[in-house]
Amino acid sequence: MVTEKDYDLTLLVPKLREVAKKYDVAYDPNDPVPSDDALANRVFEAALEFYSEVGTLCVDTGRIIRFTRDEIMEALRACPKQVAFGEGKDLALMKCRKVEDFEPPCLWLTAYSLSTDETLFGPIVESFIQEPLTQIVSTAIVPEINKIQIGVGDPTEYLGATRSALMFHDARCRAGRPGIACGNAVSAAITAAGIMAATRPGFGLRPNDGYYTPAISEFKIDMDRLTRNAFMLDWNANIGLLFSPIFGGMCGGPNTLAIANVAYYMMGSAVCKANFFASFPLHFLYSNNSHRAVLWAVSLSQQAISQCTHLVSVQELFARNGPLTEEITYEAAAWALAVVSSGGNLGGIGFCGGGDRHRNYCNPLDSKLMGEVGIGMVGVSRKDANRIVKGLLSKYEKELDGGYCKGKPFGELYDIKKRAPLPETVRHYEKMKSGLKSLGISLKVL
Amino acid sequence: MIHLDLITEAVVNGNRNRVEELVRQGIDEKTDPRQILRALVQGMHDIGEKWIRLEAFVPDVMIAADVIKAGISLLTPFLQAGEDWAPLGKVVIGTVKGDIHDIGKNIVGTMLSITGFHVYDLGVDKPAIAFIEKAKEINADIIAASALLTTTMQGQKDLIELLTHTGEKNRFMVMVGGGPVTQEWANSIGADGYGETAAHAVQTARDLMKRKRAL
Repeated sequence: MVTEKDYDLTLLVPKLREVAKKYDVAYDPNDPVPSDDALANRVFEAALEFYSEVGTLCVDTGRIIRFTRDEIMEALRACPKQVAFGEGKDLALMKCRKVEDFEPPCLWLTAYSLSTDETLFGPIVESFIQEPLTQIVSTAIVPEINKIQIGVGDPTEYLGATRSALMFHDARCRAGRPGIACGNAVSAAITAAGIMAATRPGFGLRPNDGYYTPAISEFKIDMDRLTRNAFMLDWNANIGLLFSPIFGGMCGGPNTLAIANVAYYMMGSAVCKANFFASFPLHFLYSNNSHRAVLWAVSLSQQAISQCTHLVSVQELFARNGPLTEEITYEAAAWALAVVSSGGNLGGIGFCGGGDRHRNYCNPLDSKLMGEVGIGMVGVSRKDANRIVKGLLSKYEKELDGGYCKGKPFGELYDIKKRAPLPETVRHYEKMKSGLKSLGISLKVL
Repeated sequence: MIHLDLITEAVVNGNRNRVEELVRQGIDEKTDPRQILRALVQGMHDIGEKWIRLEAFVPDVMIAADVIKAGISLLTPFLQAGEDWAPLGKVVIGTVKGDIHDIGKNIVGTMLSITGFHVYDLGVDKPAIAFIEKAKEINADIIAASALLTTTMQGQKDLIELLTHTGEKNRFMVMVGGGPVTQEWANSIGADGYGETAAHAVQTARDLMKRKRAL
């Protein structure tokens, strides 16, 4: 049995640094989208050694859940190569993709970690759902329902979880796509009790929606998460391990971050029997993952997973800049190129760490444009992706230190009643499309 | 004769055994304990500088903070009253009930340590009463409550309401922070301070101490 501090500082951090050195995993800032297959293989081997020795800490018992290398590999092999989300004509298959794959990415075009007013939940979620490119969407967090502040572990969580489920199902029916999956049902449910409550028949959620088991950073879990996991396994639901290794935190710099990101897939397979994996590493200062060093780690770790396993992986963007800014388009395009060329499926867009700090800030057309880049550039080589990403980085990375552009809230971008983008929003979208094309990005939709 | 630079270097390297060995040597050689203290604190500044340049990360700073505390505990009997490396104040920090996120709390706690506060870290998922009991135990100046989920922010409000209810609101300064937390939220719940970023949190803590001393 160990304390969290001992686990972190005497086991996790030293081992991560040791394997980075042993397997010669070194960051190259000149290539945010690396094209080194041998390096990707070494990252996988480093992660395997790391996770087999460090395991996952259960914070409730202080015990470490460990697996041998053979057990880890067995768990990885047992994972499915594709996951079915939704049903009927909106059934979406999220597949294992390979590096430089011509198989299009599954498009989870949404606003991550979005907090909304109760009255705007419907217009916002419907507006995302109505975009035809979107195959999976996320639900939003509603901090107050009927003027009641939603909390955790008490009856207000029950209220928030169940009413959010009802509201989401209502939104997908109103948008004319009742079969589309919610990838992160139920965001208002923090505890297992909340998940179990919200998934009761009658509230509208289905096993073919997606349900997260969020890892506790770094490489930790608790009994409540294991309980919700057990419930979801029994219910035959889609289980996604959600993980956010922190650049600059216990996972250190880009090279150790890449290794840790891969090790999380191992944790998800072995501990949670997840069938899909949702990754969003974050920069500890900027709360984004479009930073050059994080982009490198994301690209490389995705390549390691794509080369060495058949796991279904989606990478979730958290942009530094907000809706309807030029910068968010460049960040999203860089993300799409890095992820798609490396073998990932495309998720996005969260904004600067998400949550109630930017309530109602989202723009479905920003996400749509990211999806158009992802589809238009499918099959792009990593070398070409790297060249274009470097150009995109030059358009936003210098500004990262100076803060961020907040952009505009949904109510200023869309006609709320019509669920339609306002003329300015459409003009901006068209302008940014032209801008991306001038950078050599194809937006042709298959 | 001991080279004080070696103490600084050992702090930066997170080498507790070496720091303890050198501090003992310094004490044995009758080196001015204030100079040894300065060498330890310099190590903290150096690791802080490396952190800002992303040459070191949160675990390195946390280890350095622990190493310095080990060195200071050896030095304390030889320091005059009032010669303390952390004269700025005492802070109780934690993440509120229902929330298990700790990276922001760890970063803020570490930065507060670097800049001269005594920091008492409660950990995560702590009810309001835990913050208050610890603050009373160590006679804290500031209570710092972190929340990273929209649905756990209520814990910050609960803390302030409990302090008000028990008549102790004026005894402790309360500052809040975390991903979804805003200045508006902090104002609405009656918090004394808010930190949007870790650096902002440190400045807020300093400002709160000035305010407290002026009272």
